[in-house]
Amino acid sequence: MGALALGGAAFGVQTTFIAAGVPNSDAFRVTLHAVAGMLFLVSGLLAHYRRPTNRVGLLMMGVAIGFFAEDLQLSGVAWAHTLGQLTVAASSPFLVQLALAFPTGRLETRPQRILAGVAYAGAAATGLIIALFVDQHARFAENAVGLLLISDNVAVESVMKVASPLTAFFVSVGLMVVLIRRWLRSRQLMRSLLAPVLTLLIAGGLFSSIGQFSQSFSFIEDRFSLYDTFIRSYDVFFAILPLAFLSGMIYFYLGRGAVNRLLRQLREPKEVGEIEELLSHSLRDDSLRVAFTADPGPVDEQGAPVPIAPFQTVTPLGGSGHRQAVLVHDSLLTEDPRVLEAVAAAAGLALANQSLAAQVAAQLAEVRASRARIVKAADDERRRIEQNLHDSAQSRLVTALLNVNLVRRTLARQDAREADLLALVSEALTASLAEIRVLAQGLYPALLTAGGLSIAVDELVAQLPLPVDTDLGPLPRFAPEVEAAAYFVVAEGLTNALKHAQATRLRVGMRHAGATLTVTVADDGRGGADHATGSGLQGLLDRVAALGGDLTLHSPAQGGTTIKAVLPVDTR
Amino acid sequence: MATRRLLIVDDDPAFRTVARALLDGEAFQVAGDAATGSAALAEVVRLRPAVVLLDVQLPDTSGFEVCPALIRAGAAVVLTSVREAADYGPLVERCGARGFIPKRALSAEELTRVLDTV
Repeated sequence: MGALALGGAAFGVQTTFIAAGVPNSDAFRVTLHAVAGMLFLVSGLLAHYRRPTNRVGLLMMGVAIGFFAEDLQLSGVAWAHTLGQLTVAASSPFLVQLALAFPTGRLETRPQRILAGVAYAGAAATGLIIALFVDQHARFAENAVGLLLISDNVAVESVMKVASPLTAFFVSVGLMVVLIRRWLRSRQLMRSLLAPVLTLLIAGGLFSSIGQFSQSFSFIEDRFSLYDTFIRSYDVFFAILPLAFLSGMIYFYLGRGAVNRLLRQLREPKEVGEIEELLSHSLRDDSLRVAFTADPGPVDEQGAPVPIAPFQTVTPLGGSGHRQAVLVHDSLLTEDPRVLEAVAAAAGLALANQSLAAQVAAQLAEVRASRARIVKAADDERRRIEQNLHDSAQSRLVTALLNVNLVRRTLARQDAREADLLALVSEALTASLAEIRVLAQGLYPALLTAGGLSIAVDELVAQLPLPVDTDLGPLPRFAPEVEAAAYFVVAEGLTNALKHAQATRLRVGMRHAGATLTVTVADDGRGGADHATGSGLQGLLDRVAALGGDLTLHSPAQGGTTIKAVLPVDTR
Repeated sequence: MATRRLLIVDDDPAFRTVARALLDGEAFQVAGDAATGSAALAEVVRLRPAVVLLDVQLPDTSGFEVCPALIRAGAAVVLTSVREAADYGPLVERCGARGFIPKRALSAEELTRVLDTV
């Protein structure tokens, strides 16, 4: 393909010299023609390298070479002049096919193929008739005599003067109809490709027609300069046209970098909406949707049907778990099947990751909730047992004790020896009550239920043999599990300080700010405490974590110990 | 010393019986008893007792909550419970009761002592 381009370029240089060599030649137009041809050639080559299987690049080079060949008729060399006559309209059919087939490179419908066929046939017929019946040498002395000339036929020439522009006119109209219909039926992607091409073709066509029109009517003053203006403008539009085709090809076929970037972004687990937005943006298809197969047609994440427009195609996404996900997108994207495949696979993977991440998150939330429920259930059970002890065993023992005391008193008045025996019973009952009380107190502090956190902790602190600095604030009531956790943090902290730390001073703080309750227990003892060694501390850690809180232990050797729990709270 | 009229409030009938037997005598005359907080409020108006022996844990409310209304009705309130005073910390004093007697230590003498200690 490089060789074709190189040959084409050399050919272009040659024909430009021929055109420039004509007396009174218009230097501006000669230069612009050369530039236009070269631009078509180079753009075609670049488009071809961007997408070798797409015919657009080749067609652009065809336009260029045809365009150069048209200037051969200006040659004084007979064979070159004859070749130039045959290819007098060579660039047009290539241009028609190019515009019809852009951007896929294929002629999709029968009317398109017929239109292209008419353009090629018209160009060939025009060339042949001119070669056979028009003697340009008779008009321009510097032109050679055509090798195929039969006779200089004025009648044929005058028919040609009508038939040729008429054919060109119909082909142009057909081309415009096809392109405008394509525009109307498509969405963002195709329109952004078509817009520059269509604009230049319409503008070029318009300027060319007005130019021709102004030349045909003598009543317009100064008609030559008017003709020049429009024809030159048309030349400019024509020279820019290859850039419009090339930019369309570059825009449409994503470069390797863009694809890699997209694939990299898809590696993270993403929500369906995010994937949709990313793909839609990267592939420049605002009609793109991520959907899920269902009967009768695809549905979105919420189950609403996703309509498939006539210009759209459905591509399945790989590996999306229990639901088969699909991409509903502009059919134009199937032109780049490798990119579409890679993107579909990556999007499928991202969706699968997302559904996996959602599953893990749901499981984690469930585990957290169940851990909180377990702690709450344990607390509820302790509270229930404490209450039961109070309601049944302790109440009955107390009533029994009081009854015994009643009988004792009566017997004592009678000086009965049984009174002494009953004193023993009374003592036993009192001792049992004391033991049960200790047990009940350890299970769940009654004061915590009755009075709340600050009162219960205050009472706990009051029983200690050491001085304690307290900052217990005024606290509202919290959920029972939160109050229990905070209480047990203080109780365990104080127990550890007394048992192991050899502390002389203690500090207990509870502070409620916003949605957290912070509980601190500090001592000035020997430090060195560790979660791992104290099962009490480990229990606290579990209890606090179950509520979604955080427990930290700071206990450097000889540096005292500080336990700090931060608990999330809803005030009641 | 005059005999003081006493209302016993407790949901446990066995306790009410033994308390009545323990306390009814020279120092106190048991005017009646009640099993709930609301019954206590009705009885304190009807019987006009000088003293209410009030269990902390009642089926419809707590002794701490009903205590101020009983005091407003003109009675001196002494709280009692199977539990100990320390189990309730400052709540006894806060509700305006004269004092607290754990049930295990209940006697007319103890009740008199609590009432007469200022």
